[in-house]
Amino acid sequence: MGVLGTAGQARYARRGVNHPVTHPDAPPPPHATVAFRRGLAAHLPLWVAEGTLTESAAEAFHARYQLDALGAETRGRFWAALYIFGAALIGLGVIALVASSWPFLPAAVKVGVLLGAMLLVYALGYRWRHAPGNRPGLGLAMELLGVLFFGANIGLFGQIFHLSGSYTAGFGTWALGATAMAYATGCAPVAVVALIAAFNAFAWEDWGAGNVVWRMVQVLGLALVGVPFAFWHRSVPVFALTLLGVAVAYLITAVGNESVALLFCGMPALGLLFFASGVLLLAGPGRTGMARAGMILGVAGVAVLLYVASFLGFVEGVLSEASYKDDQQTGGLAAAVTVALALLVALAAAKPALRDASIRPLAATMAVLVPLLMLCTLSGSSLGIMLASNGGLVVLGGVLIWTGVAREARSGYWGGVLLLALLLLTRFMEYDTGLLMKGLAFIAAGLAVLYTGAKFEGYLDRRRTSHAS
Amino acid sequence: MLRNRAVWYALAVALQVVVLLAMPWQKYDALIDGAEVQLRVQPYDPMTFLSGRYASLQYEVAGLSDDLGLLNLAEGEPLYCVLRPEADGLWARVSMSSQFPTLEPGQRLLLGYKERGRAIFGIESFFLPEEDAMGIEEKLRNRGSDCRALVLVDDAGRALLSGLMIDGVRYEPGQ
Repeated sequence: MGVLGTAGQARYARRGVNHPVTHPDAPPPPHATVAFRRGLAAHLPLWVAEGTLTESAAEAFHARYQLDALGAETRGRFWAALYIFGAALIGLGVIALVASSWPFLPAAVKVGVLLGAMLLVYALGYRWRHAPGNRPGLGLAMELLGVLFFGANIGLFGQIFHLSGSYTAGFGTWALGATAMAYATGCAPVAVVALIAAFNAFAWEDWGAGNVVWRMVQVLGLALVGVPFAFWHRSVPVFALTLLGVAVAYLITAVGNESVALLFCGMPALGLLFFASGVLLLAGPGRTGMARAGMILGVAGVAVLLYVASFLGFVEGVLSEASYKDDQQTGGLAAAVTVALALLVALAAAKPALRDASIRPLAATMAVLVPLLMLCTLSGSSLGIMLASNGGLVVLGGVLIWTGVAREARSGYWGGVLLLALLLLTRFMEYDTGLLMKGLAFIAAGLAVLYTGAKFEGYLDRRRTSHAS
Repeated sequence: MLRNRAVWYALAVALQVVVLLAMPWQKYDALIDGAEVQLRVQPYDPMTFLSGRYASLQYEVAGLSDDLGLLNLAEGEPLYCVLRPEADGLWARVSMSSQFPTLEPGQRLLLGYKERGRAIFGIESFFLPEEDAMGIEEKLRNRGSDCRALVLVDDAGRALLSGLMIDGVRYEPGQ
């Protein structure tokens, strides 16, 4: 069989073209989305007919982007979604069914039924995914169902034997088993279940327990559930969900322990860490989606923190009520470790960031804003924190708009516009400026958003037309 | 490659099975050889989606007071509660300490740990059978009811909740 394998091979062979360009098993390039490949499949014959593209070049594109596999991939995704939805419904049904207590069965029989059902589902999952004549979508759904069964079984074993325990222990146990299964199968939905369970284990524990070091170990554990998995399997949703979970868990620790160091030094350092990780991933091969997720979450995290710290009353309240004893000990230590880690990754990311002109200003802004906020925090000046935050938001908003234009990316442009508009609205609402002033400012801001937005969209259209031609 | 995958898959499944079996295994001795003690409890009845209806039990013997000198103990530290039988079938607390005690004939040990100013024995939840749940909840809400937990205790003090007795009626589902 030739490079194109089936229909494409025949199509181009009829035109007298048949030379292999790439290995038949080579996956399409990672940035080639299904929508892009579909468009390419539709346009290739037109371009060949117009004479824009030679037949051999068209065949090369056909092979490189595996256009023959498109139909099967789309069907596979549909079936996988259907199977996962079905498996989730069955899992919920089983949980509710068994939660009804089964009073008529002895404990040993209940245990046998529950374990047997779980093992059967896992056996079917393995067979359908890996045995000859496989049905990977259905197998994946069975693996997901197995992990849901495992979680339900933890609650049900407790019920059968009247074992009382904390939600943290229950969800932690579920996360342990689900993580092992996620790594064994490489199944992203199972990894998502593991992440949700791990985050619940964290969140159900007393927020203000006081043991910051233990909480930081848990945050690290949460990261280890998802980050290596996402890296090996190039899973953008798992990566993004992990970073989000880590950020929220970190924030819970900072707020629960009233730690200024964690809130105003550790949190921005975490944002820088995410952003720098994204820059590093962008410089490497094949993880563009993960890189974007890291950079967006990093910038968004720092922006949210700056926004919160832009309220003088809030900052004064935090500084006056915070537990300084805790700050100077474990909170400060944990924040220092986060800062050191962020610094290491940021240094590693500096070279690729400097090389890419379109992200250089954003990287420089992050590299200046984060230490600035830390310095203001260390000085203990609430006014300094507030001014740095407001100034930082203005700069960040402007740089995001510039980055959006330079990279022709709507997310950057509109993110920056939203940030600046939100800042303007907030400050005018926060301070007593008079209704006339407020009205004029809001109208001016609205007109600016509409005008510049229309200009940007026009610019994008022109650029895309020029790329296409 | 396929073989490796199968091995990792089997290990992950085995881990889950071991974790599940370890849950009741801790209470195996109490289940097989445990002696029954009856302890007075004050229940209330919450519900969770995962586990259905259950009565949360507060044991009379679990309270810690200043005179026991245990309130300054760190959370999670072990507590040893010595019980002796009373005339009405209930068991009463003789002592509570953080040191392993010496038992006199007829006494039983209940092993717990400190949590939020009380001793926790791991037997604080009683899951109600669905068809009896309404009736039991009604009795539990009646302040005058005589509510006792039926607890199996092994020689090491590990306890397993086997049922409830409310006004002399025993509820022991599925054991």
